[in-house]
Amino acid sequence: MAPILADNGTPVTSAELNQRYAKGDGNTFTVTENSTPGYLSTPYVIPAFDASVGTAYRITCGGWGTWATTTHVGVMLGHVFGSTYNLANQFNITSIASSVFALTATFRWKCTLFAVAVTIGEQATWALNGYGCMTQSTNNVKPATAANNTCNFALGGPSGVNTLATASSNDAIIFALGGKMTLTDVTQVITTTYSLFERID
Amino acid sequence: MGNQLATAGSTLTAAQLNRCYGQADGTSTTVTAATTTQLSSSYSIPANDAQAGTAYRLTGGGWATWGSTQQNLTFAFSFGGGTPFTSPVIDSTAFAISLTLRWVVCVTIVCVAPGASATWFGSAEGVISATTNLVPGTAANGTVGFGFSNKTVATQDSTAAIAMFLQGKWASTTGASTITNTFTLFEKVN
Repeated sequence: MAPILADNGTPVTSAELNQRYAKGDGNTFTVTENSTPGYLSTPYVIPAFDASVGTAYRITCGGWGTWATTTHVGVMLGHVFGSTYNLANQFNITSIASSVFALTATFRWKCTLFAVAVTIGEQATWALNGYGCMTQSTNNVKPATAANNTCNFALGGPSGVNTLATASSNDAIIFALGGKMTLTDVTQVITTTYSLFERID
Repeated sequence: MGNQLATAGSTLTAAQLNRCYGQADGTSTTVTAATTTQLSSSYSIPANDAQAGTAYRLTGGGWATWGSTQQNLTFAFSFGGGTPFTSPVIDSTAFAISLTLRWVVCVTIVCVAPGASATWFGSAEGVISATTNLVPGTAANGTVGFGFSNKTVATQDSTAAIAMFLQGKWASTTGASTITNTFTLFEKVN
């Protein structure tokens, strides 16, 4: 949406002051399971009726993890975007293949998510995108070798890639990064150490 | 630029209130051409807005389909009609034939010195990847991260409005490669 700019000499409005804000935290989230997806960022709430056409929200988060000790396991990541957290409203799932890192590798990661309101209302549509990187942290970085790997990833539209997500902007919307493993192995861990939420415009 | 910070008891100014803002849209734009073509929405830096150190950020992203005949892909950043920096070429063999992809590119540009011959430095980071089961270095499950910037300072008049947007280009139209931008986000950072 177009920015709401102030003029000298005119009273300041709440719309001007509140169009852009942010909140962050150092909350820790850890995912180890395949059966139950979990949060990998703090779940932030977009208030009901907050979005206008073109309003953009951004989440930045990151942390560390450990690849499994005996069996290769992949990591699945995606937006959580809806009134509650369940698989039906986890969009844009992508996976980092189990072969990307060597067994017992430690890694660090960062991810940035975007949600832009394309239309608003009960059937509001949203462009959901994001990107990030996961890099092993023990050895020198050398792409395409498991012991030294780094893996960039992009997150796009919902179930396909060329469609928009739907979530009523008349209701509060939970916005977060979610994840799960491709198999359950308690030795494979991904942990979030911080989250930052921004309303951009 | 110097922070336009408010002090207790003083009257707020527009310069303090307007120093950071954003604009976004969900307009979709598709590029199939073998010439450098506008990919994201265009946003403008207002005339005389930039001071030394003022930073602006432009982010776009969406999806793509690698062609039935693989083609090289290049991103570029259009800034006031010029192209201060262009991405490395994403090689045609980076992805398999007809693969569906997702991508994001984020550009930051900073005014070094304002004026009619204003100077600018900037850089961009991006990623384009398959939609699932990523394995770097494999065409069927590939993912490519990249960075680009201007090595020598760019010149663009800041006393007039400066339009900026992402561009895309395929090496050839053979194979019907497509790349679509589904959102654009413009920010004045400071």
